[in-house]
Amino acid sequence: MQGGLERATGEKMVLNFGPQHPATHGTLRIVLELDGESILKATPHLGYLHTGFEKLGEHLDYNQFIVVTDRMNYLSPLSNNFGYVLAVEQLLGIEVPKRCQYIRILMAELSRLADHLLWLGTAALDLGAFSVFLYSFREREKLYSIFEKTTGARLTTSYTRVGGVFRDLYDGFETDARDFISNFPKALKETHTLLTKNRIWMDRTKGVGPISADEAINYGLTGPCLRAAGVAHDLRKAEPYSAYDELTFDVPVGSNGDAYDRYLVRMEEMMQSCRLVTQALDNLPDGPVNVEDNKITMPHKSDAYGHIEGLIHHFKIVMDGHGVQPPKGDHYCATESPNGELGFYIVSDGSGTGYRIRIRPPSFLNFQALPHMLEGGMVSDTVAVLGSLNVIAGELDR
Amino acid sequence: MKVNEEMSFWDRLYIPALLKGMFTTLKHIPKKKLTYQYPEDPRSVNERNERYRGIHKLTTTEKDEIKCVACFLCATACPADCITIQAAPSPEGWTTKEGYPREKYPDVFEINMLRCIFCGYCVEACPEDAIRMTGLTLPQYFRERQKEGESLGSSRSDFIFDRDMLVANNDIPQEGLSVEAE
Repeated sequence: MQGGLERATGEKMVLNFGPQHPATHGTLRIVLELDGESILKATPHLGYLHTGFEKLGEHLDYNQFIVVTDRMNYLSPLSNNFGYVLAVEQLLGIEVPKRCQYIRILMAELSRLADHLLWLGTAALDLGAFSVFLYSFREREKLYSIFEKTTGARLTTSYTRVGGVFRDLYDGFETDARDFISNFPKALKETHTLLTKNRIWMDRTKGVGPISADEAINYGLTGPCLRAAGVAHDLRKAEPYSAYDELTFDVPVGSNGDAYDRYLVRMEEMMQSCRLVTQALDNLPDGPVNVEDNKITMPHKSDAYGHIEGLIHHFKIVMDGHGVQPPKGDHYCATESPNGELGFYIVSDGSGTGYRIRIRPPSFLNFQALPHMLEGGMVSDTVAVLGSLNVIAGELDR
Repeated sequence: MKVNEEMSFWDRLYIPALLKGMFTTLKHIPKKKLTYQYPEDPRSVNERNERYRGIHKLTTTEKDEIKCVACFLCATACPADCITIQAAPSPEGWTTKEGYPREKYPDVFEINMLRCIFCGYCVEACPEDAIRMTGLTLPQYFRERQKEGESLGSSRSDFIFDRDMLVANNDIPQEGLSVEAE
C-alpha cells in the first residue's frame, strides 16, 4: 500500500478488474484507473448478478420466500434462513420454542464456520497459499455433510420455516457436531502455522486496505470488517436475538482495520463459534420444535392424514391467502450473518404475501468501502483487499 | 478481546515460520485421500439419507394405482411454479384405502425439472403421501438412464417429466425425502 503514488508518472491507464476474474468469486466489476502500478481511482460496478430477489418477495408467500434466501449469500444459507424467518416471526409477534431457537443458533454458527472457512480458503488461494485452500475445504466438507443430513441439501438448505424448522435434528447430530468441533481447533491451528506468522502472508496483507474505526462506521461496514477496524460491535451481543443472550462468547476486535486484521478477526470468530456450538449442544432443551399454532405451522402429518380438522389446517397453511398472514405493518430485523449485519425489512399489507421485502445485505455496504481502501495503493493489493472483504455477488445485487 | 499482537523478534526472522509451514504441508502428504471421483464413485449416490432432496417420484398403492388425488396443493406450494396438473375423473374400479370409489386422479402430472429448485415443499404439502423424492440428483438420473442406452438430456422436452416417468421413478433404489420419516 505504501508509496504507490510517489512513483506516479502522470500517464493514466484504465484496467477492468472483472466481471470475469478468478479473484472476484462472482461476477462483479471494478474499473481501476492506474498510473503505473498505483491505483488512482477505483469504481465498483454492480448489476452483473441481478436476481430480483426483492421483487420475488412481492410474489411468493412468506414460507416460499425462504428458498430465495438460500441463494443470497450462498456460503451461509442457514444464516439467511434464520434472519428471514426471525423477521417474519417478529412481525407476527410470536416466539418459537426454546429448542427451535437453539437448533437455529447451532445451524447458524455452523454455517458461520463454513462461510469463514470458504473465505479463508479462497482469500489465501488468491494470494498464492494453495494448501490452506485444501485444508479449509476439507473441514468445510465435513460441515456440508452435516448440513446435508439435517436439511436434505448441501447448499440450498431451506431449513427454517415461519414458526419453526423443517425438521428436528437427526439422530446422531450431536455426535457428528461434537466430533467436528473437537477436531476443528487442530485443523485451524494448521492454518495458523501456515499463514499467521508467515512473512509472505504478512507482507501481502499487513497495512493493505486499511480503514479507521470512524471511517468504517461512516461507510456502514459491519461484521468482521468493522470489528477488524477496532469497533466491538456484534449484533449477537449488542441486540441479542433468539437465545444468544443465554450463551457466552467474546467479540474479537482488531486494531488497524487492514486485511491482516480482518483475517485474524475471522480466525478468532471461528473459535468463538466453536464455543457457541458446544454451549448450544450442552444446553439443547427438549420439547417441540415448532410453534403449536395451526395458523402458522403445518399440523403433524398424522393429524393431516387422520383428522378432517388437521387436513383443513394443512390445506389452509399452503393455500394462497389462508396461510401465514402477518398483521398490517412493517418491521426491520437484523441478524449477525457471517459477513455482517443482514437485515430484512418487511412491509405487510395483511395478506399472505409481503407488500415489500427489502434486504440489507452486508456485502453491499462492505463493497462500497472498497474504493476507499484501494485508492492510493498498488494494483496487486486489489486481490488482497477484495478477498479480505468477502464480497458475495449473490447478495450484492438482490 | 484483541486479536492483533506485535511481532516478536522470532517472527521477524522470516525463515522459521516458513519452515514450520512447509513441515505442516509435508505432514499431509502421506495421509489418506479424502476426495473421490464424482460422479463415477458409487459413494456419490449411495450415501444419501432419508431427507435428501433429489428428483421426484409419484407413489402408488399396492394395486398400482397412483395415490395422487389431484388436489393441486403441491402445485400451489411450489415456489418455482414447476408442477402442471390436469385433474380427471379416476378410472373405473379405483378405490381409496378405505374401499370407497375414487373421484379424481391426475390425467396430466408434469414436473418441469428445468424450473424445479428441489426445495421439497411439494412433499411437505402433499396430504396423501403421493409425491416423494429420491436420492438421485437430475444429472445422476440422466447418467443412470444413459447407461441403459437411452439418449436423454439433449433437448428441453427431456426435462419435463410426465406422470409415467415419475411413477417409474419408484424403481430408483436410493430413497430421498418423504413425510413418513418423521
